[in-house]
Amino acid sequence: MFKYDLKKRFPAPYVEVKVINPALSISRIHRGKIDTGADLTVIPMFIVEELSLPHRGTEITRGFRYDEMPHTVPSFFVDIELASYSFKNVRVIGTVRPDILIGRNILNKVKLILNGKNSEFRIIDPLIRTS
Amino acid sequence: MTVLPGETILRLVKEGKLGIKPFYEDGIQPASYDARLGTEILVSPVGEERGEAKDLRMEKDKCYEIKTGQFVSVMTEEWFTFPNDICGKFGLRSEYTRKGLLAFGGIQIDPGWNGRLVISLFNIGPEPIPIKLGDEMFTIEFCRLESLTQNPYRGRYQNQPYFPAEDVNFILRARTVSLAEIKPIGEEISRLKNELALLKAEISRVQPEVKALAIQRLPFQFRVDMEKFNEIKIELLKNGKYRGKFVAIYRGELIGPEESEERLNMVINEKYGNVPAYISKVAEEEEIAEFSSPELV
Repeated sequence: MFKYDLKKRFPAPYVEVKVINPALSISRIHRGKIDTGADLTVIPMFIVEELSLPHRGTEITRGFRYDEMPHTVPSFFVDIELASYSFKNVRVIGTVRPDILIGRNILNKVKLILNGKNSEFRIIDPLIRTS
Repeated sequence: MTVLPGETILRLVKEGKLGIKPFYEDGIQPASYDARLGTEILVSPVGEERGEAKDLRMEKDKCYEIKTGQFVSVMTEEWFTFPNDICGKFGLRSEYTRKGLLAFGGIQIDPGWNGRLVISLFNIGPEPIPIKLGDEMFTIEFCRLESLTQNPYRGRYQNQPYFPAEDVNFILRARTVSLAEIKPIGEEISRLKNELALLKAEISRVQPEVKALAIQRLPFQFRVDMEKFNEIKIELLKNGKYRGKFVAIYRGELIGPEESEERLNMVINEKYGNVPAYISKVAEEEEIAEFSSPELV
């Protein structure tokens, strides 16, 4: 069971995320926000640089912007660990932002129960437990 | 109570029983007196123009145009002194009402009243209406009471030479959008729409350049591999072995196909290590990844 971040104006589900460069086995732990509106997982660019992640493709992305114009951005592959579950070779994109957005390319692999009323949530999937 | 005919109004003025100063004899009508527009007016804000007090003597042709939806307070040129057995009512001459000017009239002028009359005007017509200093705009009706009142008017507006301070403050501090601004708001929306359309067109125009710039920032070898993939993509699509599968280009070499990009990434890591490589699905169109959650900062 995890708690929402109540410091936010609109409390949001945050969880600790371990981002791993699978080729170098180096990692970084950082805050991640559950974002069911994001198709892909997003990591801050400083993590991309810190983990020396090599470019492994591009994605055409479209965010909530007034122009709604798509943008092509580089993508990377990382291993992600969160809530004691592990996700291998996950495609992510890097942007300049303070925290990680955990998108549906990860969320669709788990059972996610959001209890906004009690400001708590659960991530459940025994099949891919790390330990 | 009887309405006084013009002859009686004239006689009472001449006898000094009814005060109208200055008095214009040609203002006498069959059963009323036509009062004239005085020098001072208070105009409500319109668009960028603030509310202000104006002196018509200082305006071009001593004239002011009341804009559609605008609220204006005016005073009569004449100073009226009502005896204790005469009351009055004021209104706007039909010449103005036909254009859409509305006067908040009909309010009784009490016996004993002494002062100039303040009249609020509102243009509900489709066009601006000019008013000019000295225009015979108002009609004043005089009525004789059954008997002298023992309680003539002694209110706070007695002897007013100018607009009451609260009226001036109200106009000068007015900040609300008046009806007069409805048209400018429509024009502003239209202008912004045009501006937005221009911006969108500009964004579309520079989009390929921005994309090209973004691509230029990618590592050189990765860019070369990406271009290589785009070159051979049509050929790969024709080949059932690759179509719908994932491939990678590393230093110009085609790797794959694999059923999943995860597997392909693992293969590259195992075979080449932590190197850039272009991994993509062999598909007709690239899917757009949506990030639809707006965040408050």
